[in-house]
This record gives sequence, structure tokens and C-alpha cells, in this order.
Amino acid sequence: MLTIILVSILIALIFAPLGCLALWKKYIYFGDGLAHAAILAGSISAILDLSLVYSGIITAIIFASLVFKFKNISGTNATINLISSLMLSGALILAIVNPSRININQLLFGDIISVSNYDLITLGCVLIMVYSFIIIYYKHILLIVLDRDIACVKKIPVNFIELSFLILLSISVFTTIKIVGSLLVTSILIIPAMSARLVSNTPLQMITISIIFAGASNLGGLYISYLKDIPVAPVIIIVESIIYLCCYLISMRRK
Amino acid sequence: MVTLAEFKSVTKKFNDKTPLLNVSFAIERGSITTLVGPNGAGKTTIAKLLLGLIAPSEGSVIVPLGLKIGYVPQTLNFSSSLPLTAESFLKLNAPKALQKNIEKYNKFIDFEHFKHKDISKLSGGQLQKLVLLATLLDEPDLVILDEPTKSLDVLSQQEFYQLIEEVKTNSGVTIFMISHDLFTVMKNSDQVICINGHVCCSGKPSDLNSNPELLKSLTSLGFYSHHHDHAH
Repeated sequence: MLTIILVSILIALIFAPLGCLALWKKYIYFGDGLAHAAILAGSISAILDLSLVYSGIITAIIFASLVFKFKNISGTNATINLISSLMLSGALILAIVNPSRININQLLFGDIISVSNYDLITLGCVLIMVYSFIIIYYKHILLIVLDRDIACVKKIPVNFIELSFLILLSISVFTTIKIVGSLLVTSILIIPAMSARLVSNTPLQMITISIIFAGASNLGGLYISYLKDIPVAPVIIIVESIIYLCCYLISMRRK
Repeated sequence: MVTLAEFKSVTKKFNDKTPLLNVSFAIERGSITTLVGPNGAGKTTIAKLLLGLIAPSEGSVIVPLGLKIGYVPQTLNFSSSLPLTAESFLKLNAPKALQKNIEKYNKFIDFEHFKHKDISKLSGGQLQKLVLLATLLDEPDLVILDEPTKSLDVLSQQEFYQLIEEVKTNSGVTIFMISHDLFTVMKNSDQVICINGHVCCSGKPSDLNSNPELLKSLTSLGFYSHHHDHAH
């Protein structure tokens, strides 16, 4: 049980700041595309008896690099749609060919009960990578979000930072996909950031509040799920949505 | 006058298109140079070449090493998802010089009036002023303004160009301005360059009446008739 609680906290710590960045950069669609592509990573992992971490990282890097390469040619959202659909199709074909080895349900809905110490260590590593990236490039990230051209003129390594963010986001999604499931991973990424935006005045405040909301939702969802014996991810989404509604009411009163 | 930056026979090709052909001009230090031309004339391409965001296909863009360039882009679409006040925006863009220089520009830009506002709630004019202020606070040698008054009404446009004039007089900064509206900006410019894929003409605004070639080029680009229509 302790491992499950720690994993929930780690997921909140990883996803909350990345969710803020994704919201600022309007990469919500990217998260959705990643979730689809993650099913392919899960399928490859099951067929090759390879850890989902490795197949996830490989698929994540391929996905992020392809999006980064083609986004200027066909537009970001169209490119994400093409690549994620392609990967999802591949996963479905693999699942049909190998029905005994691929558990599509687990990939779609996740399974937090199956987490191990190995997942804990992996998520710990991802956490270090995510926070190192944000601490080192915090100001640069904000300038890129504000205006890419101005950031380029200021000699900020825009391409490197954008690609690093995409790869980190991909790795984070793929390493948690078996826990939270591909259907709900985008919501877990974005909703705490959306709620925090309604009640915060600075970017740092938004990240901090988002972490608190994500942690509270994950632990609250886990507790309710444990009490009522229902899948944890949908409960987390419901708790997050209630928090969003409360934040909305608070922001309306402020006005 | 001392030349700050120079285009020497610059041609830019994108696949099978050539938006710029053999373009040459110089930007003098401490001047306001205005680049005018119709849509698709290559104005933003020139700005990007000057900023070093793209490289010329032929010719050379001579910008002294270490020249500090500030840039105010054509459109400012700040994400409303990012909670940031105008004051925080300035600190983010020019943290070191902020305290030292803010007073110098405040009387022109009226920053105090909107410094606590969220950037997503600023009007088009306030946003333009804020980005210009952030650019100026960073103490650039050259400021590039790409269609700075595109989202402003006529009255705000006049105020903006007056502001630019005052800033230049007070700080001595060199300004390179891109516009499609020649007659709004002309009286504030030291040099006007008309472009339509190539340099059609260039000169001082005061040369307009005495230079038949300049007048002919402006007329062919539609500027002169535009002015004429509005004068009545």
C-alpha cells in the first residue's frame, strides 16, 4: 500500500508542472496523441517481454521527434493526429494478432494495484529529470511561451528546450501509462493545471497550486477507490473535476 | 552618419520562391528607418534576416558582432493560460536594467497605469507599449518593430509613432520599423525604403516632392493614391 501511495504522490509531482507547461504551450492535443501512441508501447512491451519503461522511452522519443520534425510542415495538431493514429493502428493490429499477450483493457484503464518498487525507482528518475529541466530552463521556458521569435532573438536555445520538453512529457506519459491508463492520462495531466490557473497570479504559484491539487486528487481518489473498490483513475478525474468547479466558483467571486 | 547595419545585394530564396532579390540598403545609427511595401513584399523576411533568424541565400547582411537587437513582433498572442502581470513580464524580459531605466520611459509609456494588470487582459495598445518598454529596458542598439500599429486604431497609431519619436530623441536608439502604411509613419522617419521583392526606391520623406522617381515608385505601389484618397 505504501508503494501505491508513493507512486500516486510521484505521479502528482511529475504531471502537475508538466501539465502547466503543456497548458501554456497549448500542447494539450500532444498529450492526447501521446496517450494513443502509448498503447503501441504497451503492446510492444507485452510481445517482446520488454519492460514498458524501455518500450515507452523508445516510442516516446520516436513520437516526440516525429512531431517536432513535421510540425512546421503540416501543422502541430495535424502531425500529432497522423502519428498517434498510426501508432494506435499498429497497436490494434498487434493486439488482434496476439490476443493472448496483449491486455488492451489494462492499457486503456490502467492498474495501480500492479505497481512495484521498480516503478517507484523509475518514476523517481523521471521526477529528477523533469525538475532539473524546469529549474535550469524556467525563465527560458516562460520567454518561449510568451513569444518564440523574441526568445530566438534573445539567443535562447528554443529548439533544444522545446524538443527536451516534448521528450520529457512523452517519457512521463509512457512510464505511467500502465498505472493510470491511456484514456485518462491527459486529464490527469491537464485538469490540475487548469484549476490552478483559475486561482493563481504568477507562473510559479500556478505550478505549486497545481502540485497540491494533483497530490490531493491522487490520494483522495486512491482512498475512495480503496473504500468502494472501483478503478482509481476515473475517481481521480472526478475529484479533480470537483476541485476545478470549486476553483471556478472562487475565481467568479473574485471578479 | 555612421552605418549600424547593412544589406549588401541580399537575395533570399524559399524553395522555388524568391521573396527578396538583390536588396541593398544601410541603417544609420540613431535614425528611424521605415520599410514600407505591400503584403508579401518581403518586409518580414528582411526583419528575420536582420535578426539572424534566417540566413540570406546570396549576398550578406552586415551586423556588427555583439550588436544588441530588440524585436517587437507583428502579432502578440500571449497565452491566457500563463498568469503574468505586466510588471512580471518586464522583470522576466529585462531584469537587470529594470530599476535603472524604468523612470526614463515611464512618462512616455504610462506603465504605472497598467503594471499590475494580467497580460492577457491588456488592450492591444497597452500590449504594444509593454513589449516596446521591455525591449527598450534591455538597452538594445537597434529596435526592430514589425508592423507595430497593426492592431491599433488611428488615434493610437499616431500616439505610438509620437512615442517612438520621443524615445529615439531621448535614448538615441536606432529604430527599424516595418509598415504597410507609408503616410502614417513617414513624418516620423529619417529614411524610407519602399520594397516589393526588391528595393523600389529609398530616400528621406522630405525628398518626396522633389524626387520624381520616388513619387513614381510610391504611386506604382499604391501608396500615393492611398494618401490622395484619404486626404479628401
